[in-house]
Amino acid sequence: MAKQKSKDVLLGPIADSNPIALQVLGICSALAVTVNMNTALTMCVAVIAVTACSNLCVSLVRTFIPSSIRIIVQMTIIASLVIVVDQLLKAYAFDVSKSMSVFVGLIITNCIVMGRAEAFAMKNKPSISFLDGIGNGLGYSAVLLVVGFFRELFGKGSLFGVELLEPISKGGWYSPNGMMLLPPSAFFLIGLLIWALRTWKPAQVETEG
Amino acid sequence: MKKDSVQGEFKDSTLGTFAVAAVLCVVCSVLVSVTAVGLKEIQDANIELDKQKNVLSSAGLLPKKATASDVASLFENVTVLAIDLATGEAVDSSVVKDPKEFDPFDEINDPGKRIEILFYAKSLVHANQEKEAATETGEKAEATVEEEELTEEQQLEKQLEAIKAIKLTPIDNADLRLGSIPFRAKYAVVYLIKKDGKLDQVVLPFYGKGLWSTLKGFISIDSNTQTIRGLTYYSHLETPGLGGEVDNEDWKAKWPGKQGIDAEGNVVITVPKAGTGNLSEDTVVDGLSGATITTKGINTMVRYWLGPAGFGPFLDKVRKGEIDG
Repeated sequence: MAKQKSKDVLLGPIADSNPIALQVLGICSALAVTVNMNTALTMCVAVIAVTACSNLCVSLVRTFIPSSIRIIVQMTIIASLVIVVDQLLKAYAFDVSKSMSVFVGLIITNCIVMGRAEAFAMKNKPSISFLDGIGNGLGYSAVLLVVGFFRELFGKGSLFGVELLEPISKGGWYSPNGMMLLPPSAFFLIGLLIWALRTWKPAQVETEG
Repeated sequence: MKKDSVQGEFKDSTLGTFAVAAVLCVVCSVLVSVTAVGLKEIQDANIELDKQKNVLSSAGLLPKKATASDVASLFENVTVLAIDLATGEAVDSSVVKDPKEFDPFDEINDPGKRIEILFYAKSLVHANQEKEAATETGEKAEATVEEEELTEEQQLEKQLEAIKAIKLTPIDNADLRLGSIPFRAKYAVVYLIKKDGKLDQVVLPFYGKGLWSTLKGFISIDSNTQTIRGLTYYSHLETPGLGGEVDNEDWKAKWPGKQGIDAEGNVVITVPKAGTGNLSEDTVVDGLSGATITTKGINTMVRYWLGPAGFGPFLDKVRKGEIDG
């Protein structure tokens, strides 16, 4: 365990052990914040920051954490970091934080953060834990951005708010797919994504029963 | 590993557990409070700027890509005024401490401060009926003389009877009710916008239920108290692409120039179901297609807030020239 290569730890979660696609964690926020690329990107940065920092902090104090209250300790660290991130967004990226409303706060409940703290940071050194946090954040981000890309492009005809396909309501030709703007569409997209990923890497397919 | 196990004995003891928990709590709370307090000023400025942007946008004065300094200079022509909705009169800082920070939803959640909308509507109807009855019989003058001779108990009884009479008053005027919303605040904060030293338009905050959510926005009325100058929603959770189209610039562009109120102060604006109204009339704004319930909500809330139970008394004062910004 202790001798994992930094590169594997950092890049592995993007395709090989993606937290959303393989471990199926953190789905709820992936549905909520992927209506457009701006919020998806902000959410990605926020989650990467929180996972990395929480992994670092938990790993730094891992030898001091009494096992009877370790989950609470992790939770407290994560919650504090999330509040800090939320406050920073409200101060420096107000419009984005408004459109993300409660979902920044809900990073606390994102299973990826807690999962990595418990499964990795409790057993590994700070530096490698930090990389693991960034790696898993990146894996989450990859899925979020792909889903956000399709939802915004087909739902609104734009990317990052820049209009690419001119919708009929503004005199263009494109009829926006309203379903793409609703949360269920993210489910379909994530499903298709998992299908594509497992076709590419058959090792990820779970054995029946 | 050896070091770990020695530490391990202490850390898993009851004392160790409490010590770790205590240190952790202190460290985390310091971290959180330092960020929260340190950033509060910037955050408050953001919230204020956002509100100002929405006010200016509903008045049609906000240029695209306005910077903070643009907004600040535009807002120099704006007076923020707290009013009592029932009388339309301005209230001073003893009633509403800081108009800029006034939030009607704080008051609505406070049973001591809110007003029951249905009761208020009924009392409006009741007062009207009494006035009519009084002018018919001319008994009103006599009634006031009698009042002085009543004991405290009798007065209380009379008040209760009056309340009962109001409760029983039927109400069929939908414009006096705010859909299914039961309460509203007693006060409101309005924005008076001046142009060349004269009152040009008044921006009124309003809200009401749509399909999924409470829509909150601003509506701007010309100083002639009849013409609508613009309408913006700044907060809602309606279906994107359907009810969420209240944010669509093309739909918002339908509002400026419409007649909201006639010369007598009656609300005339309607928002019918998409495509069913006579759109050539300047009192009709087409609803949102595919969003029947949101459209109904918009119709209800605009008519309520412009009407006698909403900003009517205030707009009366503007009409009479008693509000000069």
